[in-house]
Amino acid sequence: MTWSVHHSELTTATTAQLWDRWGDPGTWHLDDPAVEWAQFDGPLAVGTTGVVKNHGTPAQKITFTRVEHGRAMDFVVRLPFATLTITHDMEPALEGVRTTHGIVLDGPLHRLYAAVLGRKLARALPLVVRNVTAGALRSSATTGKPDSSRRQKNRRP
Amino acid sequence: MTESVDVDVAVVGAGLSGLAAARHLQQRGLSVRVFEAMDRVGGRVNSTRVSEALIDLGGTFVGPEQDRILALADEMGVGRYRTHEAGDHLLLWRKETKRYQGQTPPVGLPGLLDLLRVRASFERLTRSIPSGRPWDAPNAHELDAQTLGSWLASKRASQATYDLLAVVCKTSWGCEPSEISLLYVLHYVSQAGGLGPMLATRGGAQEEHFVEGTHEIAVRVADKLGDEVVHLGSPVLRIDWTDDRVTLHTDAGTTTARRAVVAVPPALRSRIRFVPELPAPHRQLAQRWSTGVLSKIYAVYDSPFWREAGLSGMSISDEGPVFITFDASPPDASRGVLLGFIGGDYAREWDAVAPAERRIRALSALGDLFGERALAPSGYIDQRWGEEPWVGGGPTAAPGPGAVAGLHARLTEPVGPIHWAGTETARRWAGFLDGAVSAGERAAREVAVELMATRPEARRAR
Repeated sequence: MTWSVHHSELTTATTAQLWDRWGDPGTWHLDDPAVEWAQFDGPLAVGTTGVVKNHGTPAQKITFTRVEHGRAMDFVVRLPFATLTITHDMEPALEGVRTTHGIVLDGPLHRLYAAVLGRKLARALPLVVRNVTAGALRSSATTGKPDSSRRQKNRRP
Repeated sequence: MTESVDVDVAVVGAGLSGLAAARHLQQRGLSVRVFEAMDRVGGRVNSTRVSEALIDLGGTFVGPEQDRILALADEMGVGRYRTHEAGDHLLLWRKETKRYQGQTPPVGLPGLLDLLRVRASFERLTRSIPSGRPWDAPNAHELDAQTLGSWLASKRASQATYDLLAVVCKTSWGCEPSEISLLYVLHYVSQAGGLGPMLATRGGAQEEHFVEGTHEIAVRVADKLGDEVVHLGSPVLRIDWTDDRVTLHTDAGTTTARRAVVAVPPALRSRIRFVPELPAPHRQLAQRWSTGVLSKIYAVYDSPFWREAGLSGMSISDEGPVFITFDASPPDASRGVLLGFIGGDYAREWDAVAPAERRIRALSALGDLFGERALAPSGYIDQRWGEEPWVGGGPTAAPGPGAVAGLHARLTEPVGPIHWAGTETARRWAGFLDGAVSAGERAAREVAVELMATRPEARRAR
């Protein structure tokens, strides 16, 4: 009852840099061309809710289900008869960090959603991961430290 | 009566094309001087050693019917060996890795049917393009108004077909399908004998490597020309010209000649100030025929370990940064060498990151294809041709829509005493090593014919 796909890449960005980038909803529209804007309703923690607005679709409520600071962050989107989970993982590997971005579909209609939604999202995973790592490296180069000040900034127009 | 000159012919650019031109002219008894901006010869070919393996950083492959580069390599005593392709190729596509053999990657039956449909339509169009004269093609301007990407959209190509041709586009021209003129692409494929010969290893343009490296050909040609002939580190800043004389200006001074052969990529023609200015179409050509962006990575291992798993080392990936790989190990397999290409949008981004990040991203991609052992090479190097100021990109020009039908003829059209070479100007195998050599030889023939007709003046060269 599950369909999933993940994409991993190695990078020299640190887990702290990646965590800061993944955890800043103000950068999601920069890293994922599908996203129009995103916001969190509170500090990043299990149970925190937020909203993600993709281009051409209604805003979706998201709920964080796993938050391990500097290591992992998952949130879910409830769909009719299915749940879409977006995963983000970071772990030291080789001479850098392996960062993994994934999509998991559960529920009775997971196959249908995989066909109409999942494969399109999956195709975008490599681009999103490379944008995130590039953004993480850039922000570090600019500020010299992770930029956590923007984490809760509301980017809704 | 014409004033005396320093040499009969001045050649700008010591890539294979400029060197082939100079050699051809010298063999005909004409005096020649070659000016190269970089501190080495070869232009878009260069070689180095990494962990004892010889690495071709630029142009690498040759194939059948590329008779000019093969003849030049033979004359210079540079040997060849076949590109390794025994075993299964890999396709990393939509997060699945599949093995396959032959030229057609396993993209599923619907994908395959669509690919064959679009390819047949594409090949039909290529057959309507006269080699060397794309402007004479039926509907040339209409074809030139489209990009490869917009044409694929008009054919309702599936996403898989589009993505596969995007891989071809990135590695062949260093750009995305949405950036390049359809007419240019059709002509390029046509003059390379079709998609099959252009993309194939056995029987195609990737069939062989040079044992001593491609760069060695350029080095040996330059050696035979003589130290006093080839001037390195001498960018030509300005060319003053009249009907029968040129004056080249470098930081070291001026050189006068009866003719000039400018053998640089079309876009780099604009780095030279011509006095008087070139005609408007020639200037537009230099502005609009920008070079693609292609980078290469090489990972060197103690052995070609992928062969133990029955793999050829050739692969295609839709994820990047490395979109295509080849086994570039030496003929005795004393080292394992994987060559990967990074082109188009991803190359522009990848080129800009720090060396350590480039390395880890490239190895990450190789690891996805060939497993954990690929993550720990004994040596690694990458070559970013887009970062080379006197090359400007690679592997060849990638003109956008509207820049071909009206400007292609200007590639070779002399302006006064100035003639043009460089692989882009070749009638056959333009964009390849062979095109560089044949274009240089063609420009030299043009010049030689003109100068022989005025031989008494030519003899007055100092």
